[in-house]
Amino acid sequence: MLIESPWRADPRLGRSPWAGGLTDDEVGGGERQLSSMSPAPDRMDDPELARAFAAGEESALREAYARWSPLVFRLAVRSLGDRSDAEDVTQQVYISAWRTRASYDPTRSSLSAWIVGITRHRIADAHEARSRSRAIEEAAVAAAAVSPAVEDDDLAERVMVAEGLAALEPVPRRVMHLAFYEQLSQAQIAETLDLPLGTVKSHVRRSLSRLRTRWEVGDEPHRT
Amino acid sequence: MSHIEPDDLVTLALDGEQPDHAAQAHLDECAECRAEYDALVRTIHLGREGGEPELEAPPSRVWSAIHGELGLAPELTADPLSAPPNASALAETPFPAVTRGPEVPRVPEATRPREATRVPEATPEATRPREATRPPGATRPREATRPPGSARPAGSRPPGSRPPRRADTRARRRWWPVALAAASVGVLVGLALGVGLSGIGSGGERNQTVLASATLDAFPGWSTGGTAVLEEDGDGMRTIVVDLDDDVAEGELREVWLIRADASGLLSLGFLEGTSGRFAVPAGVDLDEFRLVDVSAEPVDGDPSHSGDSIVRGELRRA
Repeated sequence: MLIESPWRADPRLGRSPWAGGLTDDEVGGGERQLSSMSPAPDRMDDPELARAFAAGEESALREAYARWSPLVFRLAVRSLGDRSDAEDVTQQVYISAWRTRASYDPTRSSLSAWIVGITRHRIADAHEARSRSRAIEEAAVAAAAVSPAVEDDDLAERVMVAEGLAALEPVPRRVMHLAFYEQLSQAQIAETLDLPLGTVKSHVRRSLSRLRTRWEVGDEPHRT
Repeated sequence: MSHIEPDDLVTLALDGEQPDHAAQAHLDECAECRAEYDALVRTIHLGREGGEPELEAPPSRVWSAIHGELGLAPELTADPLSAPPNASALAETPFPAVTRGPEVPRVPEATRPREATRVPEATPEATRPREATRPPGATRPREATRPPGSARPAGSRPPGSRPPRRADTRARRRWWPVALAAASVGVLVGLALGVGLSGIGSGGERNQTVLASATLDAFPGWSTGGTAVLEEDGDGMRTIVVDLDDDVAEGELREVWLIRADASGLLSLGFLEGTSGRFAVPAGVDLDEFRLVDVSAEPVDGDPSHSGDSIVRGELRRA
């Protein structure tokens, strides 16, 4: 590459020319904020989508399907080992999510975490239905082969955290990338990005808090 | 009992090292701090592990069944995981990657002609081609990087959302009659704008479709704003059209850039003369990666790097 650094002067191109619409301090950060006008569903951040979903807006259901049905489908395929059964589960998850939306509490979990919870229940139901419809010997074999107890439970949570990471504003996202993937200390990040240490710590603290809300479900014991 | 400062808990969790004696003693006896610490450690672990690189979209019949069972509004019929092919260049949050099925053109409800709503977007799997073919030189196929919330509903917009731009409406009205005349409805739906436009005539400025636009906001110290519009012609050639509201002072160059969303890289598209200009976007440029349009004031000194003095900037959003 001919030129080392594309920036001659101020490298803080993460700053945006508009001040409005951002929830955090002058450094900016956190998840993308949109204008005060209600955005289209595919541009809503998670809390806004959750609100619209709970309020019964069908376009929010559609958006929830667009965002998370691949994850739901994958969880079902991995557990049940059968695409057709997984399709049925995916269908049931969204239908029951919509029908029970009154019971969704945004203060307890993110919309995605709630839907993942429903997914696990529907998968368990599917396993149970299988066992009931088979002879006991076959059921034992089937259970051993696709037992949910041995599957990787982290998939859904990893996906949701990655989603939260991508939804961060450019500067905090860059900070978290360096923290997660480059394994830099906060002091090293501050030096790399030419930001004050306090600012970096702020970004990390707020970002981790946001990422946490993606997967955490209130009142449940934390898995280690 | 005084608790561990939140910042210190974060640092502890991030370092991944064993807390020192004093901190460990506190964590042992304070359930609250312990819970905080554990949650932070787990979040960091999940973040480091990363999400799945490729999640497969369920077949369209799943959405059809949901739509039918719940009796959803007719304008929501189309599979939410089939996006317009020409919008594939522009991502929202680029995560996770999802393999896509055939794609449905997104037409705002207001401008869609009556006949078009009968286009059976919920066509069963068999009649819709799995891989939408693209015109040569078109944007990179979606399969590699599919953003989660980027599928646009084929119809409804919530009240209060911005109405479609005039240019949008003109362009879309132009190709619908041609599209309707197409023999196979499945092909029509799958190939959308690309086929429609190439059917009209040769590519070129006459057959531009607006894919996205950006409001260019002024940086501190500058008073002009502007707009940028991303167009694609019948041959799949993309152009960014920049329009500034006012002329800026003479004596300086105004360079137009595409910048990555996280400001980690940038591409120069050329120089703007006057208040308006058209800039070709090379085929290899991924506009969901480089989605910020920036115009900078540049001294005539032969240094190709960005001066750091941006006049305006805005983010491309799909039309």
